[in-house]
Amino acid sequence: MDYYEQNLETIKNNRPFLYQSLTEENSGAATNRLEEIRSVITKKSEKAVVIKYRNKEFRLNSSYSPAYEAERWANQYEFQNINSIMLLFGFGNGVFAGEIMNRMKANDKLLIYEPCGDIFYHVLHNYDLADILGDKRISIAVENINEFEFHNLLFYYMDVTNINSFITCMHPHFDKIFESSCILFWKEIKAAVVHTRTNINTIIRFGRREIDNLLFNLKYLKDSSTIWELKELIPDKAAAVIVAAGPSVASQIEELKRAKGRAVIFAVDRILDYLLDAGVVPDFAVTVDPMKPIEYFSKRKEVTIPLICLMYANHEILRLHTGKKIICNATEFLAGAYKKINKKPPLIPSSPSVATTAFSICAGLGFQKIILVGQDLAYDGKYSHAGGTEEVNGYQQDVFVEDIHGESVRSRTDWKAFITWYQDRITLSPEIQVIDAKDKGAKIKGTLIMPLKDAIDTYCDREYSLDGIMKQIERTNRTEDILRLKEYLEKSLASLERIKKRAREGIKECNQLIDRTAVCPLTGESEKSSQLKLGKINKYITKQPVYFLMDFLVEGQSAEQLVKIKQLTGDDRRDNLDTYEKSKFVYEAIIEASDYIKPGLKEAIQEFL
Amino acid sequence: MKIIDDTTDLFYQQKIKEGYGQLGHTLEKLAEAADRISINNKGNYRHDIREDSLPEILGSAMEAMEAGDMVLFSDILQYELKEAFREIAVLNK
Repeated sequence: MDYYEQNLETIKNNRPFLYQSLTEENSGAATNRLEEIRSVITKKSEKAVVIKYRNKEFRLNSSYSPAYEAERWANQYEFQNINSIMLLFGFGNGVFAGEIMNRMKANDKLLIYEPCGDIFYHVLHNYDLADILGDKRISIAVENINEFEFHNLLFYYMDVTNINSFITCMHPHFDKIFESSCILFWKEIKAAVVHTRTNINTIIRFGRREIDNLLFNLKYLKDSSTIWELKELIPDKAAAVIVAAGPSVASQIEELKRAKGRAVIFAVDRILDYLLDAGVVPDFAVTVDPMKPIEYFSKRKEVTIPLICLMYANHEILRLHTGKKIICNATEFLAGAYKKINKKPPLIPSSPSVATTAFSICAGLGFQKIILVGQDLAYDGKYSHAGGTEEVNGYQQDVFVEDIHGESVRSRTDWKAFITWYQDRITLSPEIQVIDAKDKGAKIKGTLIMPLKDAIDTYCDREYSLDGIMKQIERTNRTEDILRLKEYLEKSLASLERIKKRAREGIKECNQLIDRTAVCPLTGESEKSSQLKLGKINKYITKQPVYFLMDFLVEGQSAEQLVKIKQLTGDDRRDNLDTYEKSKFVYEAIIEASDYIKPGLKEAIQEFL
Repeated sequence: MKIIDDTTDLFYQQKIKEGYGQLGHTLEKLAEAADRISINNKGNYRHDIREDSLPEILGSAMEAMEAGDMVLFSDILQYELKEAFREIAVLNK
């Protein structure tokens, strides 16, 4: 077996998506094409890569010892933090990545972005990369082959505990040779930081409200269904139409009337009233936001259209709604309850907007044709939403994006994030055809742009009666199930006191450790014993089902501490003291969260039956 | 030797500006060292091949620097110049 076959075999066994991308027909570098690439033997009998790009020759490694160069290069980076994320621009022949790999700890991650497919193919043929390719801590994204993996993994791995401590590394010369790709690399990092910071801020803002909503909404469980019951009844090969509140909806009302009965129509939040006023009755309304002002859902005194919702959606909206409620996300806390009654818990993840969540819901329901209406994701002049609305959102800034005609159009930072979300989701769901039925607005790559009239004629060629379907939908929970759900809630209530007790033990242990460490460093045995104790406390607390309810409240209250908890200075005593202080803070947040939840959960249990 | 390591590390780490900042001092020290070797060998009839190669090595290093190839510059210092100094030190014992 030559190097290429060996490397490909390793990729096949460890990186199926990269393997698929590499072996697809027409797979290959479309950007940053080289005029020439070769490997040369160095003065110390190692191999170095030399390339010719835009008529200039570049040596990518030392002409003496690439391994020594990589070692000295890597010395500038400190890899002392826990669960570090390293981001490397440029894979080259793997020698720099290999040096980072040798310094990584078991839980560290290395995300590599290689801007030049020609280089990657060359090294696959000429170098033994088994150790790097086989290391599951490392991901490799190659531009124009699988570059979205870098984006996805970066967004996945970055969180409150490492947002301030990830390490960005540059393969020597790559930033100057592949400048535009390097700019994109930095933009991805910035987007991930903004996304994570937004999530942290969202958790802080919404944490308590989400718990309040969930506890208020528990009373609807007994008469609700889940999306899994709904899925059984969705007509085969039906198309979904998701109507959001972009300005373009105004010109599509007549076609939406034509779509009624031929596709399943989902109205997201504020567009509901607009559609009803215009004589379009959607099949479902969707709401997810925990704090959406009720008038942004509907100004009507009551709403009876079936409502798909998350358990922690605004309870005021769920109270206004008197029709059938269909749960799409019951939260991890209630997932345990559903499993107790042998039901599949609905856990469709929420995403940046109600429309993107509606998309996930439609994908979960098995729709393979999804038509987007009103997803302008751009201003129409001064208007932000249908009905001549000019919303001023203090949290968002203006940005410019490409529109469906290839021109630049004014958008918002949150809308731009939604565009990225759609593009990523569409890439990961090749079985779903997504039609963007608008004549203006931001371009969403991967969608088929088509007037709504044509989309209905092409994809909505049958007639359905969803009224009949909704009459058939089963209530998820029979009487005996409801009693068992109540029992689950009662046990959760009882466990709150036990959690508090263990958290107090954790605080006591931390105080003792702080006192002892301040005087002199702990011995190995003594430190190990304390860490075991704290480990047991943490394991107990996080194993309790009700902890899922507390989690984002604790995360929100201790976000500031969590950001720093995995950053180390290298001074063991200082680092240990810091860790114990921050751990105390987290235990205190756990106690506060328990006290917060208890009265609401007690009341919810009383109202449950 | 340490001064060579410190400077070449900066260039291997692509900290070009800092490397240049230190370079003047480094080259000064290297020149002093070369002069001392030359003075030590005056009157000593043992003709040291490595002493003769010092200007050549430093010349190659300067060429690399002029071409902007600071990795090659660092390599020459690390592998040629340091080796030359070591051999001279051994021969002069």
